[in-house]
Amino acid sequence: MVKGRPSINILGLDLGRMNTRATLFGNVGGKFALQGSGVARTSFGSDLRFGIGIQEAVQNLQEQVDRILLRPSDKALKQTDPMSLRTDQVVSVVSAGPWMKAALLGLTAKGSLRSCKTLLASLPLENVGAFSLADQAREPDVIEALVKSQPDILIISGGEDAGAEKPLLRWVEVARLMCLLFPATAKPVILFAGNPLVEETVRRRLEPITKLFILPNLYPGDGKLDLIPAQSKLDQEIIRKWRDDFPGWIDLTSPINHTVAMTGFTLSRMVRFLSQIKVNFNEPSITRGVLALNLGGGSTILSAGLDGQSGLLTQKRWESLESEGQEYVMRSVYRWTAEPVSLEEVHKFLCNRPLYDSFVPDNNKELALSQAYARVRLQQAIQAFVSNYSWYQGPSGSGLQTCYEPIIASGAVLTQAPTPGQAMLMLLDGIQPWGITTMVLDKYHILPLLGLIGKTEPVLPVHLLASSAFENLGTVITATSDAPGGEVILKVHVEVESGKNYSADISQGDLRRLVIPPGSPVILELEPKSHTHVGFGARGKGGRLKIIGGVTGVVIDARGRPLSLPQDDELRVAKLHQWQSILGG
Amino acid sequence: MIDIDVVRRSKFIEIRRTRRLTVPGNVLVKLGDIVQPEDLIAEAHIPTQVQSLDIARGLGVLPSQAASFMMRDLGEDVQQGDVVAQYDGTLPRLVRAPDGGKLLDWQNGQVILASGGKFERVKAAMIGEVMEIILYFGAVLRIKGCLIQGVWGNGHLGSGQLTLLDPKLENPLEAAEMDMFEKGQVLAAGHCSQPDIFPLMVKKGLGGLILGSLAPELSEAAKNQPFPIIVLQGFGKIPSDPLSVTLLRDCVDELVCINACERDVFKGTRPELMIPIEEGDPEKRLGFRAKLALGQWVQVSGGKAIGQTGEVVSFSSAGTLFKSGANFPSAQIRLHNDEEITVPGQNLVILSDSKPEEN
Repeated sequence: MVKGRPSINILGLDLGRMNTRATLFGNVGGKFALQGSGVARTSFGSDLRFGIGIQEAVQNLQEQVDRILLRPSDKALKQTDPMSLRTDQVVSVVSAGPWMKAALLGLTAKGSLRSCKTLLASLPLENVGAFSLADQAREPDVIEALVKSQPDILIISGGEDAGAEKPLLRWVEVARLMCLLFPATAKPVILFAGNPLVEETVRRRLEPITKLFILPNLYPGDGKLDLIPAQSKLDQEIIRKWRDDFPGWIDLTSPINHTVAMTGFTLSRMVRFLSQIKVNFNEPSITRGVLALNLGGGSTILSAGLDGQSGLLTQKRWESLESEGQEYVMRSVYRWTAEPVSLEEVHKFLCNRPLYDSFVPDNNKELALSQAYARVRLQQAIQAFVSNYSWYQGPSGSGLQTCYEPIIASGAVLTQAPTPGQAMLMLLDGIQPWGITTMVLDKYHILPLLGLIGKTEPVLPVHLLASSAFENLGTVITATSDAPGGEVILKVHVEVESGKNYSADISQGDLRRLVIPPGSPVILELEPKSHTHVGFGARGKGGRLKIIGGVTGVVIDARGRPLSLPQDDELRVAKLHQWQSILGG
Repeated sequence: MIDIDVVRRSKFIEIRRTRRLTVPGNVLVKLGDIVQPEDLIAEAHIPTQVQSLDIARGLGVLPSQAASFMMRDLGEDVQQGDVVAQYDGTLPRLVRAPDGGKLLDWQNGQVILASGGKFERVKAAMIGEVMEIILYFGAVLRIKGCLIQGVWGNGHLGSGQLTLLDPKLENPLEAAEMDMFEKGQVLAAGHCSQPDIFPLMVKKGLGGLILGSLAPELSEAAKNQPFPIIVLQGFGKIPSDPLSVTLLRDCVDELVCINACERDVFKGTRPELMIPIEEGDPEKRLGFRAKLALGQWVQVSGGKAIGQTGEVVSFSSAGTLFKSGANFPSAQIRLHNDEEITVPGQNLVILSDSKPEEN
């Protein structure tokens, strides 16, 4: 029990597009621990009741923890589900709901509009129209376009602090007219996050007509982007809409002890927390970030934090398969499939997959296709993240990319991969990390829950992160060099606490696994050649490193960045097979 | 056993469907009305254009005085030419509405007129009786008959007399066969892989296309057709589902209504076709998801038998180790060709409570 406080139990619910997970956290011997986790399919359908899936997940959890967590509902409280939850505190993270439509009114394409687009891309929001200063010349067209796209949310931003006022006020009038055109129930919520000098006018013109939120300027003018207040408000608005659309979900418990947020937003909160507390081993001068991702059933969520900055990206899972993106995705999946397949087979797979939510691969070809698609999803997410957050790759001009350590991953395709080596290789090929990192699997999908619980129980995430709830998949050392293939670029000495020390030469193009028993501490001494970068801040710079063995040991990736695959199909499949077998099949 | 999706195929069932606007509007039907697929159930009008009428300037008065000369109130509808404001001095002056619309807003001696607009309309997309009115938004419709749901639709609605390419829907649809069909007919076929079929169908004026399976390379073209296309089993060349074949064959020449909408898990909708039938033995309702059970007729959603249909003959809750290396609770399925396969329970969708009768 935490000193001075009574023992409490916290039930965490994760409502994903595919699965609903119920996880119980409790206090054991003064430490918070995960007591059990139950999973059920998220319940959708014409009755729109999330509650059924929650009850099934909690019932599964009850069997594990030997405790009663469900009780008959109190009719006096008008609870719509027959059962309700009995526990001290309930926290829910949700990603299952439908995406909302949002439109943007900004000023400059590279300033406010870009900030707005980055904000939208961070949450489950579909951009249905973005207008800049140049569009003010055709105001009636803008109004018509806005009405036709019928946004749920309208974001107005622009003008640095104490900057432009007039064009911003013109957008406010456009927003006002657009709102007047809609009946009361269909008016969009407006978020104003621009020049604070016009706030008073914005309030006067818009507040009587629709729901208005005034937020800090997204782009205050000091070159920094501050999306968090707007993300926080949008998080609440999206949750409110989902609560309205899915009655019964929140009734399972009393609203007094139930906190709800979106999965992505709380994941990014956790990433911010981890990136702030990070202490860099040996070399405080080396900047290292933290990265977390979720390859979910409905979306890909990626968050990274670095040096006081953080970013969040949410991508719709099947969106890239629409029209113009389809050909690119098809060819990419084809290239990353570790089985001989034809383009037609890939096309058939990608066409059929969105039709059936719960599909699982039951043969090697489908497994290879699913894992190839996971790699492509990761690559697309990283690409979009880089274009939204320029700091991700580190200071320009150095030629060296930033290390992210740890990389914490979740999503059924990873956590349910037949072998840990397959999960590791998907992450390596998808993210293509630099320097030294540790890959961690969030087996129970609890990282977003910790981000939410941490607000009231700051110790709980700290205890849980050090527990076996997170699986150390292995340490990755990426050695990059411009040496020709086959040339030795790195020497690694492994000092094992209870055993024989050994050394390994790593050549350009190698993928090598050093088998180290899980949980065992070892010291690695890295001696890179003068042109090789291994994450110690400069080419040719090495050092000593104490690590704890993960389930795949230590993986040394000298395959190059960006990864390239042989052009010949047979050689390409053989190479993918070879990499897989190196990591344990 | 686990809950899995239901893609319903039933010979006779009561079908209820909600037709609802996203914004409030006018409901155009009343309780007990019998509606046809193309009938409008509800309609909402939202103006999309705004224009500013400078009342102060038009009347030659100060902006602060202009409001007192308004002849119409804000929120009022006006017709083209209606007097909006009038000054009765020695030289009377008028401001007339340049277009029909609604007076929306007032600011600095100017009034905003909203005109033009978009209509949101919701059609019946089925034959049915109005059993409930949703005030300002729409209605719930009801019909008894045959229901066949599919896995993919191109977003269009339609109806017509049902005709089959061949009695067992075994043959792929070929361009040369298009001459056999008449304008307005809804054609059912086993498979389509020829890109020139679609323009021929448009030229011929066929009312819709029901396919067992569609070649993946035609998926984009199918999306862009002006008539409804519904795929029952999936993409690729897939042997036809005997249950669907039986249901369709029994309804040849009947009027079929196709709602080839996209699947929407949040609304619980799937692409589907309905054929009104007056009498029959009602089958059990299964909902959007149901528990997998022995004897059910199911469709396989993954593996080599993707899209094929068969009967559930046994379960293994403990799980089966599949070639992919993963262990899943599984079901043994006897396919329509009597081959038995083991499939992860998750890779099935339920079509019906029982296997189709042999023909």
